[in-house]
Amino acid sequence: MTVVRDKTAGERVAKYLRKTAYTMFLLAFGLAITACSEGDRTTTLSDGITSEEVRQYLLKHPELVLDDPEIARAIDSARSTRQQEAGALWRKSLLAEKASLLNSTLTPASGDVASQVTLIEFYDYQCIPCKASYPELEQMRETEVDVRIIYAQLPVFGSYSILAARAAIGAHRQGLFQAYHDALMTADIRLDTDSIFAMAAEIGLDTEKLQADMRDPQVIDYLEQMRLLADELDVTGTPAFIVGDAILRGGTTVKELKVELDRQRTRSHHSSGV
Amino acid sequence: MTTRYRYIIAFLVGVKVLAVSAAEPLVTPDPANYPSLSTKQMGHVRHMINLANQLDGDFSLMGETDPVYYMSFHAYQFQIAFAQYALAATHYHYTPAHRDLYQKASARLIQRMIYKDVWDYWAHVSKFDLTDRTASDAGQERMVNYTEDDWYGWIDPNIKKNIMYSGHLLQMVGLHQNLFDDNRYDEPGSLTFRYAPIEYGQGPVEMKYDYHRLAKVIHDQFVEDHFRGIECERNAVYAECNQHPILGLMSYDVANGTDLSVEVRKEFKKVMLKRNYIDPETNTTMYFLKVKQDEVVPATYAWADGWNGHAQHVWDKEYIESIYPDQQKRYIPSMLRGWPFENMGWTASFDFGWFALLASEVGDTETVQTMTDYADAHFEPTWRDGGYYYPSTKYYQYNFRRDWKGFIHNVGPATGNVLVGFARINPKDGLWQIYNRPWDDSHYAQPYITNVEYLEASVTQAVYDREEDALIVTLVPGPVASKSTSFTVHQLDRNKSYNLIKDGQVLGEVNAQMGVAIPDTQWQADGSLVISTGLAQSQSFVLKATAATLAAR
Repeated sequence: MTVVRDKTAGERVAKYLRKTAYTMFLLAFGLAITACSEGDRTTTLSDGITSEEVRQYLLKHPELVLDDPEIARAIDSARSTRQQEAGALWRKSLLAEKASLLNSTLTPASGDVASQVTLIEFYDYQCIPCKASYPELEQMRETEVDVRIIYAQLPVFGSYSILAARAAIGAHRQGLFQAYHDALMTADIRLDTDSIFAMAAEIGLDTEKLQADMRDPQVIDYLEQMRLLADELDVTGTPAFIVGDAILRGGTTVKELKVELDRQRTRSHHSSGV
Repeated sequence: MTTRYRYIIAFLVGVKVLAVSAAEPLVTPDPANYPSLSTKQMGHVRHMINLANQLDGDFSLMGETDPVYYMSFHAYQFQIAFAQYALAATHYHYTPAHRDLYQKASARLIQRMIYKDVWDYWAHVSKFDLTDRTASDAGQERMVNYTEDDWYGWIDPNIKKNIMYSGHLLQMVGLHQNLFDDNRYDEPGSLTFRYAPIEYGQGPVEMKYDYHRLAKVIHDQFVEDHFRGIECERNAVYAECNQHPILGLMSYDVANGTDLSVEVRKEFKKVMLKRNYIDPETNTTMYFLKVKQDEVVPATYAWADGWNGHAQHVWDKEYIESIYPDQQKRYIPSMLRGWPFENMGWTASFDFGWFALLASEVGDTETVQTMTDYADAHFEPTWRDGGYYYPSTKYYQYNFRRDWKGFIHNVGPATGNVLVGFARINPKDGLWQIYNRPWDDSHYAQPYITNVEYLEASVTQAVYDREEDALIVTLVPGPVASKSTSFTVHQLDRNKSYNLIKDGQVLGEVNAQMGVAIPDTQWQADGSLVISTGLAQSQSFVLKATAATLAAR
């Protein structure tokens, strides 16, 4: 089938579209999806062309979308943005629902509860990438302002990971989480029962109380609740970071974390009218 | 009653116990007379529980890429489903009085089963009639020249066809319900499938199922398809894949008082016989039925006979046992040893596992022993965090050759992670008993144990013997060394006293009503009894009701 184009109008529209392809197609798809909505959906764009004209043209010549790689890329980008926004909204809602877990007395954290941005790290004490990024993360903890960091235990590498996670919560109960966390994250020995308790003794933890806390059903249940939260957030490995309402999965560099922190701060400023 | 009087009565009871003990020897059940998991069996169990406990999107132990994309039988859904069946068999036969570990693992496996990576292949596979894909140049040409209608697939993995997935899910849910008296999957939406298509910024599509809807959808398809079996991929009916929904419907009937499976079994068997799904000459199971062409593709595959047979045995025991000897002779020992570097073909990595499972179900213990010994010798058995399994060999998807001595080394994840272990664990009529002798309500009123610290201890047997009125529990050390551990016993009769015997030694008598405890035991407010013990080695406990109640004394 041969398509005959109206060269005069079409050239003007096609030329305009190529200049501002991204903005036009966001609008076009927005119009398509809200097709059922009432009210005047015609917007006058520059050059005297209305959005309705654009829409009608696209309906008549959909091959423009298929044939133009730039337009295809714009569509992909718009789609990805929309999915990310939907995901962020859902995560925000879920984290609000789980506030009591995240702010529990069993949850080790640094920074103020009222901080502008919350960063949650899901990690495992036997996770190599988690340990590799630890020094930089700690530096970030000391230098970034107005950030609350939540240390979310997610033992995924077997029994000794689970043991270490329980011990970390026990250390938190004794007020020595940061020192113990540092010891576990920087240890270059294999984790087992002996090494877990040896490190605990070295930093001055009461190991008998620690053992009792590690067997405490409250601690065991708390870790299970954290695990369920990770499942709901679609955390598929460690490390995984929730920065505000965004999720960054394994392979994330500290630089990328900082970029996301800044982005979340900016959004927070805008939404508060600052 | 004041504490002082309680102590007095407890003392008097204690004295009487000693007197009775001295006068009459105590006859207690011997733990050795009850099924108990061996070290390797327990290892297989732990490995499957480790698989269950992986994060939903973590398939690192289950193959580098989803094998279903290679149309292989090591697909995630098969590993997950058969792991759940294996754990069900373990719980039923060895630890019926210890259910929380298995209940959680079962629920985790069902959760993993509905995770998108396990079933979203269907959005792609549903588009094709794969039965002609490589059969001929004409087949290839047809694939290229398909019209838009031919290419149209669908997302929902349960609504139509794809019984190679939905049938397993139905069986898993049915087992969970009936073994644990847990009807969480009756709730509408309890099995919700979320699909996030890559199109136009739409949100995820949710397909909501529950046990009832799933059973109905599958049963309706059996009826619509005139009981010839539900297709897996388009145009392909596999006998073994239809066994799982049949077992699922059997469980559904037990739980709901229906008889959906009765007609299905009867009519499906008629079709099987009429169409020679199992060749009457060779007693081998077909490859599949091409529906449009109405053509049965015959085959001689150990995996097909094993897979179909172990499940059909549940509802067609005599028939499967009658054809088994022919199958056994065909594959054993020829499968196990052949010419050096012989190419065994694409089924090499799973023929072994499924046939071993069939051998276990029909009670051919000699073949099971031969095959599990073979696996231990040639499949590089590995211990990992308390779990025992056979890691997949590199290139198992491509390298089907025997070694220079003629042995098999090719192991895929289904065989290595689950099937060999399942065969080792499953006793004669293992699955037959689960479906034909389901537990009734009285089972859930019997004494049972919980709160076993999984890191420290494994429970190799936990059974309540109703005739003996005794609970028998054996613990062995787990992967994390510990000097001591504990477990909690529930639903002991408050009106009875129990002798606690540890490794054959009578420790004393306990009674909830009177608060009588002995060292290393403690009554809880809810009437449960916590028992603590050292765990340097295996420890067996028997809690046996005494001959007379306290009132009689």
